[in-house]
Amino acid sequence: MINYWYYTGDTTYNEVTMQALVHQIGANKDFMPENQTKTLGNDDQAFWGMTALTAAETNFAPPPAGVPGWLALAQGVFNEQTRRWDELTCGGGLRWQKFITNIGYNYKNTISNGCFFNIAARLALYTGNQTYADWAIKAYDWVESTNMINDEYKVFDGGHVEDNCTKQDGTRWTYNAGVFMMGAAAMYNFVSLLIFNCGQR
Amino acid sequence: MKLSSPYAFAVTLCTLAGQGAKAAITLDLTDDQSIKDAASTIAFDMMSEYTGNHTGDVPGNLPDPYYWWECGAMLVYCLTVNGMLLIITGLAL
Repeated sequence: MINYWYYTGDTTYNEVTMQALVHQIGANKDFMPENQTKTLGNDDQAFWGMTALTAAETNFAPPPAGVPGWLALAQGVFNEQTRRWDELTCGGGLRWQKFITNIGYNYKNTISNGCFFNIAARLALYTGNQTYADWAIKAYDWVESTNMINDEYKVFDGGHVEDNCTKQDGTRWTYNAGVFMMGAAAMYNFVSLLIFNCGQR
Repeated sequence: MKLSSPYAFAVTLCTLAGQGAKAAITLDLTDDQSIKDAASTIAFDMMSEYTGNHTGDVPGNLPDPYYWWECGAMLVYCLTVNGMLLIITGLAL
């Protein structure tokens, strides 16, 4: 709905969009509201983080006083997820579920890592900070190393830690490819800006 | 809405009927107003699924069978997701 407003200029749904976003920020300002925490996956949280990031990128009206800005909210999600990057299994990557008790904790799925890559790449472009780009590259390289994106650029759904995350079930969802395409475009722009800036010096 | 020229050249006029659509949407990709009208119809249809702003309901939630993350995605990607679908549908015609 943010994109709808941004591209059409129609503000009909801005208020309801703002209300929904602000309501789901949660007590810790990280899009892990209490009513969702028990089943929370990194991908779930990241979808809300990406929405906040789009709000920042499009200059959507700022949240009410007392609520962190859209950029800070997206950075909060990103920072939290960097701490969940798990090199003890599969050589890295984010697990699907945050909590060990949840089904899916042993699954490192493409969408969680793709959303993380997406946010990192867009934060790099938005802030110009190389640290975000380094994380984007790290996430992409890891996804490729597990064959979640194979050498024909087919994007699969994820792998289990018992199989070292390399056994793909062959399912291809469009949202997996989508978040990577968007993040790759942001990285392209980020690198282009760097080259342009170097040329100016 | 910014559309790259290949799409505009590939299809200038198409009729769309997605799953659950009440009526076909006519879209002329060379006409800004037509694109906005089509987007408006889709946005309205999508938001009619949303009940989070009703009294007693929770903002940011979609009713079953939708997941919480889908509402998060809906708040930003409505046009993108449906827009891609429209373009692909158009190219397939």
